[in-house]
Amino acid sequence: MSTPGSTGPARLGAGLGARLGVRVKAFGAFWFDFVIGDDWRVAALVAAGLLVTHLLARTVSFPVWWVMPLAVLVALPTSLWRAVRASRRG
Amino acid sequence: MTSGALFLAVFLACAVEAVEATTIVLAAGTARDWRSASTGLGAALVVLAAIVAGLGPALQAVPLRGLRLVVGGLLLVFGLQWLRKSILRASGHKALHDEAVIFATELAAAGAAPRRRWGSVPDWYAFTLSFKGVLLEGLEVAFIVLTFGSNQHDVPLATLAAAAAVLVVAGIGVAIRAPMARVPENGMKFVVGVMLTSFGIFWGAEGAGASWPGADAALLVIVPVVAALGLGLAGTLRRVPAARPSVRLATASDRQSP
Repeated sequence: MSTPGSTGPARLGAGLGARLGVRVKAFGAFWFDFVIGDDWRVAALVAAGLLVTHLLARTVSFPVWWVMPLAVLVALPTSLWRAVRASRRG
Repeated sequence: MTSGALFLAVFLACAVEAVEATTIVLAAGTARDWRSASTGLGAALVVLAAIVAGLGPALQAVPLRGLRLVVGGLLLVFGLQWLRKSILRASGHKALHDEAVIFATELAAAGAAPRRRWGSVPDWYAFTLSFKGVLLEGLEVAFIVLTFGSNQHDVPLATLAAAAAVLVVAGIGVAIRAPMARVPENGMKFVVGVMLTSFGIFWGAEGAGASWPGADAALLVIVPVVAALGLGLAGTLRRVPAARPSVRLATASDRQSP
């Protein structure tokens, strides 16, 4: 909106800034959707699984390969259940 | 096993995305202008090839353990997305892709837009429709080619699988000049989801410091277990009533993801 003190170049700069902001936001949203997808909790569980595997592998002497399959066993059914519940709620 | 799995996963992923991209290119060419649609297709393929050629050698230079951690994690996130959507579609909780309906809708939209020449491109709308469709569908394949290929130290084999899939699908598309509505897209997506998830689990855990019993042979167990889990979940969800009839037109946002 124009104010008494605003000038043409200032308004132009604000307009360009707003357009750039929209583009940056759209770019970020595209990559978020591309990498993370519909359910960010799945990506969070995968990251948590990798972190736990890494920490356990450095500190314990027993095998830790089971952590990632367990993370998938939790992530996939819970994500599906959330999707089904959301679609039933409409 | 891993080279065969690499080829199969990349070939199927690429074939699925190529079927969807072909529908868009066919709509742009049929409703608007074949030369512009073909130029858009070619330009998108050049961009995708440049991404693979540029990032492939860079990824090969990353130490294997770090690469497996990052790539394994990303593959797992990607694989779970593919698996999740194919299970929801198989169980009737998400719409199946209907290439014939999508083609008709794209055709109507393309026919309504005004024609505008840009440089040597006779129809800018047909060019951008084709370019964006192929680039968006192909970006995921480029990622799969890069991640699978670099982990196996065989980007050329992954590229070959992708190129073979594009040639097969494009050949069929040119021959029939119609959307490939009979391709079992969801079944193919399920197989790709299983492969990406299995390799993501394997490489991610290895990259994080775990050792698999039997080393690479562990994949012979992981792949069937993930497939059984997916089939079991699809069977279970089929018994849960869907909210509404499951066949609807895939939206623009659906088309950007598996």
